[in-house]
Amino acid sequence: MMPQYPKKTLPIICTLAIALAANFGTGCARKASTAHGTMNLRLSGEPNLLNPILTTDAYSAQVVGTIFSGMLKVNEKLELEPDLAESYKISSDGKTYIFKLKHNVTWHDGVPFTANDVVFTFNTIIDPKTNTVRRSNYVIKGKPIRFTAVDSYTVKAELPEPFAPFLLSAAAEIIPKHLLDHSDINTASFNRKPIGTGPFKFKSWKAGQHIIVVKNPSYYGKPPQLDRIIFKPISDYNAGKIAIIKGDIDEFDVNPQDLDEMKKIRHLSLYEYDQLQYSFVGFNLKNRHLKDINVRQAIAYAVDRKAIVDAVLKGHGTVADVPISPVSWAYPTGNAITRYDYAPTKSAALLERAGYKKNTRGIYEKEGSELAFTIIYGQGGKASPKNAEIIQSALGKIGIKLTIVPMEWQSFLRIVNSGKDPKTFDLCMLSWSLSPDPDDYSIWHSSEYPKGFNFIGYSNPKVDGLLTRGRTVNNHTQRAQIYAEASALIGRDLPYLFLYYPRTISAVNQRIHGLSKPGPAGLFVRIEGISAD
Amino acid sequence: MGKWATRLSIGFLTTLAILSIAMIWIGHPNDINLNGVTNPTPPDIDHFLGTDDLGRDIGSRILDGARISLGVGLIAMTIAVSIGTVIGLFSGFMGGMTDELTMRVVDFIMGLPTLFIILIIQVILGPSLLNAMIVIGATSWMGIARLVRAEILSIRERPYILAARARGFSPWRIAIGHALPSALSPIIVSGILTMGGAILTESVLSFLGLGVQPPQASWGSMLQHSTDYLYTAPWMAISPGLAITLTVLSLNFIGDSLRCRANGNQS
Repeated sequence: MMPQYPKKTLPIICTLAIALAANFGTGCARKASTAHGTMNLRLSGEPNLLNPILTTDAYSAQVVGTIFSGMLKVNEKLELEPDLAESYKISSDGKTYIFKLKHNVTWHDGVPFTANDVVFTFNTIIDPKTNTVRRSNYVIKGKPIRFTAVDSYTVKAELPEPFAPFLLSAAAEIIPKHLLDHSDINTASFNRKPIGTGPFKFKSWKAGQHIIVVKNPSYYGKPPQLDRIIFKPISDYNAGKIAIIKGDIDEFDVNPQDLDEMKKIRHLSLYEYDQLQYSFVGFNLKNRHLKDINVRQAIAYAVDRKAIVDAVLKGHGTVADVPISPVSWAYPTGNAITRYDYAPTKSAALLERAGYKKNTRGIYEKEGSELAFTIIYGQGGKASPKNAEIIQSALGKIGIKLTIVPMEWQSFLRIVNSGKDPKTFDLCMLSWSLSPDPDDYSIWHSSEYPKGFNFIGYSNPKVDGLLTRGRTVNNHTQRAQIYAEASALIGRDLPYLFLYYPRTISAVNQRIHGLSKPGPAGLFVRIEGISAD
Repeated sequence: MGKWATRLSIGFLTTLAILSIAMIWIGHPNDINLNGVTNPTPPDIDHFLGTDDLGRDIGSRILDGARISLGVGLIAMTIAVSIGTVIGLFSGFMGGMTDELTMRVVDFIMGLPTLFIILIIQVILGPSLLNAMIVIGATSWMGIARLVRAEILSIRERPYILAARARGFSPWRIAIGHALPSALSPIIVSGILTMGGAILTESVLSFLGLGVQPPQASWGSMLQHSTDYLYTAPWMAISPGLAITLTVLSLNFIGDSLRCRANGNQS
């Protein structure tokens, strides 16, 4: 897994990256050096750049995470802990953050790390000339956050208004001012031979073959155990599977149908863990039928989501009912969640109560308009076509016609992200990769429609209020309650048919030691502690 | 090629066509059966070719997919033969600069990467079976056009054509009424071979998710579906793979044998 990727990438980019990762051509696996002290990792695609503020794909982020570090980092429990910072303080009005930095940190080229690097990094992200998707994390209501260096080891961030999710954005990896100050960040040669402060130093990059990083002996934290990590781009799943079996790579995410085969391989250990991700079918709430909750409930009751988890994920997932992952610290308590468990008999009753009648073709209609929908999704993933076929078959049984329209990703995103109202889809299937912070304002707040990730047009004033408040409160417990309540409300309104939380199954070569506790952050949260026989 | 191969081929395709049409009334190829089954089941007495990962009977889906494959092949062939014949007739009969120009345009189109064009068109227009048939037909007529033109060039100086001209028949009447019948046999042969090619192209498109749309089965999409299970459930891949191979092979046998007859049975 990509240990740091959720914390700094917009959800849609992650989703896109996952889809692309599944899409690329065949990579090439070379005979590995399984030498002592070397770990070989698979990348599901070839990175484009190794600059933490510019990358958009998960595999670049995976390499970048070993070379760079941020003021804070996300730990196994998805909480933030100090990394380059020693400590931080938040003012009582929630608008000023003071970060005290570690003193003994040097860049890989020997130059000392200071507060100027931090200020430079965030100002570069905020600079509109920089080609980054991260700017919106540092702009609140159109006003950028102001970063200043109080002294060489103190950074002050001033927010235009309180914004609790900022702390996660403050964890972004820092780039060196002395190497990038006078060059164009978008085209700098630095982006292909990066210098960071992380536990590993960049050594070489042979396109299509490998990226090698080596131990940073002057790392400020616990000294890294590994001598080097070789990243190999292997985009094809089956090629990757052969590579883990042969020992050419040391970690690999296994598809559930291959689990039994992997269990038989003696040199592998298997770990299964939840991800900060859920798959769903979004209802276009501007559709004349779908805006009626009775219709949405009828659809939800008709679909056996447990059967989908069993058939598509081979049971390696959990049925989802709310838009937040069960591993999040803001997940609502069980009895607060409305569950639309499989009960197809309820569907007919709901539809009839809403005034629908079955016509001669066996399809429900009202005022001459049939319950006939299309479902769109982006091609590339393996699960979407199966999910769609199962849902189609289930809805067909209760008298709702569903046409499946898989689309090429760009066309799909153009429809979903079009700034128009109403949008031209009925149902759309997608996954969200979530950030460790539960703030999902951009997905559910009514102001995020028609432009924004609330592409289904969801609007609930109570949820709007909670989402706005969740951004201004800094107290952890209070925020957990706020987001739990919002999630429960959204789950009850059924704007999505929540499908499932998939689980990752990782196969790891037993010569690798020091893995972190399996969780959404992956197995390599403390990469410096990893060793290889 | 021996006669037995041709006969077997004709027998195979006829059976396939009849069964696939019968599937419209008797089969339930898209019935998803998830009753606790989470893995494809190997061939047994209930499912002669096994089931796929959604519990669907592979045999039924192969027959249902045959209708798609044969249908796409037939329609694409009809389109290709129509365009090819018209352009070949036109070019051959006009001769001179017009012929020269037309043939260079045909050469140019032949040089274009066909599959790539099909992919672009499918992406722009959206994937659908109708689009697939039209696009495949519209990109595989060039060989037929050249064949027809060559045939017409050799026919148009023959005495009976000259006689027809002398009697003042219109060029179109001569072309369609007198020249075309002589060129018919190479057109049929080439058409049948084109059909084989069209079936393969449809499989590739469906494999890439740009052909038929679910739940409709097609051999290409069944192959695509099977890639996750190549090691654990090879029967999911073998049946559609064999179906494609045997169908295209049969068409090629039939085409070859027709060509041999047309050329005076040289085999």
